Amino acid sequence: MHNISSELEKIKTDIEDEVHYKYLEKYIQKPKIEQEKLFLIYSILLNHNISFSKKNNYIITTMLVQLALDTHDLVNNDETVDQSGVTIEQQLNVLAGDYYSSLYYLFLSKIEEQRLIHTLAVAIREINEAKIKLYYHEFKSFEELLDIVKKIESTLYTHIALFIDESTLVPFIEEWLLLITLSKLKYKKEPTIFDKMYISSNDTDFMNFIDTQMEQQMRQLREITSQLPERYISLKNHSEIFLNKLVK
Amino acid sequence: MKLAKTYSYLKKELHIIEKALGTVIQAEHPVLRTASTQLLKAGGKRIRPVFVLLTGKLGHFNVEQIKTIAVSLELIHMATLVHDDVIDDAELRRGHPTIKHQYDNRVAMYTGDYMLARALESITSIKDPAIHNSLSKALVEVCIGEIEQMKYKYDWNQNLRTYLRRIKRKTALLIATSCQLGALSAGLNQSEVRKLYKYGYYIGMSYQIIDDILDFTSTPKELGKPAGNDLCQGNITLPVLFAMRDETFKKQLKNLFEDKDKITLNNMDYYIEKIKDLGAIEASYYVSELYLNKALNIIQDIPESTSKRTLENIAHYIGKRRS
Repeated sequence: MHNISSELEKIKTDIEDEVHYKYLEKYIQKPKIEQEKLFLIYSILLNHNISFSKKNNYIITTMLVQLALDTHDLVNNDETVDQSGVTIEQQLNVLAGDYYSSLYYLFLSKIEEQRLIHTLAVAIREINEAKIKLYYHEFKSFEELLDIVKKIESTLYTHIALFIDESTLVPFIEEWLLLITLSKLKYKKEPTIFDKMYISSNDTDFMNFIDTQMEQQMRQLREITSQLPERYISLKNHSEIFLNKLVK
Repeated sequence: MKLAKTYSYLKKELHIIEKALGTVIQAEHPVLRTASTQLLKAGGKRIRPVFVLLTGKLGHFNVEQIKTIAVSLELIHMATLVHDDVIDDAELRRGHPTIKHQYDNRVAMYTGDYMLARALESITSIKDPAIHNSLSKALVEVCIGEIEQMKYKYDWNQNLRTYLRRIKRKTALLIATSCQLGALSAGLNQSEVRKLYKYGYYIGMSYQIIDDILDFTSTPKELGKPAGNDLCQGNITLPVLFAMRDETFKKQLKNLFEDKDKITLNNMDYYIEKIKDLGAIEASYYVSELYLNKALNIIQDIPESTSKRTLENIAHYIGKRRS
């Protein structure tokens, strides 16, 4: 476990170095690398038969795409806009997101991974399609809403799993990332896609639904996790710890 | 004469590319689909596809590959425009409402991201690593160019070198890459590919300089946006740099921008006239001309063909461009 966390720390530093741009950091927050997603992509690739450096490159590029998407979600229709137009933070969030996207393409081009460039591009397209649906609140029920959120949160990672022919991981990735998002929403730990899409967590009906849904999700996740192949022991353990914490 | 007339014989190929662009942006979501289609229909000179076609015709013309390259480059360009309009808070582009204005910032962000994704999905059908190496490097540089443009806004002490580096990244590199990718696809030798890349670079530099000049000399109708818009946004372009050699003008300009909230397009008129009076327009045209001559020189050794002649005609046209 110690090795995993130090390796993750090292990769995190590599990603931070990759996106470091002094001028950007003067005005906008450093992009936040979500620990759970980093751990997830690391674990997906952990037992896969590819070289260490290739594995690292896959992780870094997937996280670059995630950062690009997250950064563009910070560009809103802001009320803080001054007379001269858009705030510098807004402007630089646009550019930072574009910059991170371009780095993903450069990174994978250097190692001649056209197939992965394509896979990630497909994921980006699908995520944007889902985001616009959510942005326009195009759901008829809370269940439908969660399906869209699931898609937004998990598509990058499910595509990576399929890329390495590990379709067995897809249900786990979808349910785990949805549960993480719901727990963040419930405990208001940090902003989630719901806040970014102006979906209020003050609605009692909605929050009651989330409570019920989380219990259901937890049961479902336990079941899916138990069926994961043994080679995903780190994912199994991690998800177990996470579920136990939620129960408490 | 219009630029399009120099390559009117490419009408059929350009129509194929236009059709392919229309197909590629057929998103599932109606808003993404409509926004992308509107941007496409607003037109544009499609100079990147034209350069891909022309250089692609200098060797073995692989129509499918050329189409893919041209579509991807144009989509990348369009994606940057959609995001640029968010940055500039622009209401109009080519005389049409921007996506940001018609919908909002979020929709513009998702549309731009969608277009870039489609571009990469499309270009990866080509396996040649050289194509991706070149395009990905150019894309990173374009992004850096945009960031640097922000960094140097309202920086009255920037020099000619800073400006040239910025327009290289902002415009010239993607045109250079268009020429390079066309040439690579056509199977031209390394030296020819390099020459055509440089041709595109010189043309792109000249093109952007003239664009920057036109911001002061064209009418709002010709521009499809207000005149003096660049300066109003704090972008210091070549005519401004030349005009600022006059210390009095530089002081006036610095004073004007001390309170940015008071800057409006209305008080640009005086400065536009001053820039003209100080001979900054002519001086900028001179620099543009230098680049055009370089562009013409570098392709001298390329074997004669209709495409080569068109590349030369484009260079001549750009030098005369007044709108």
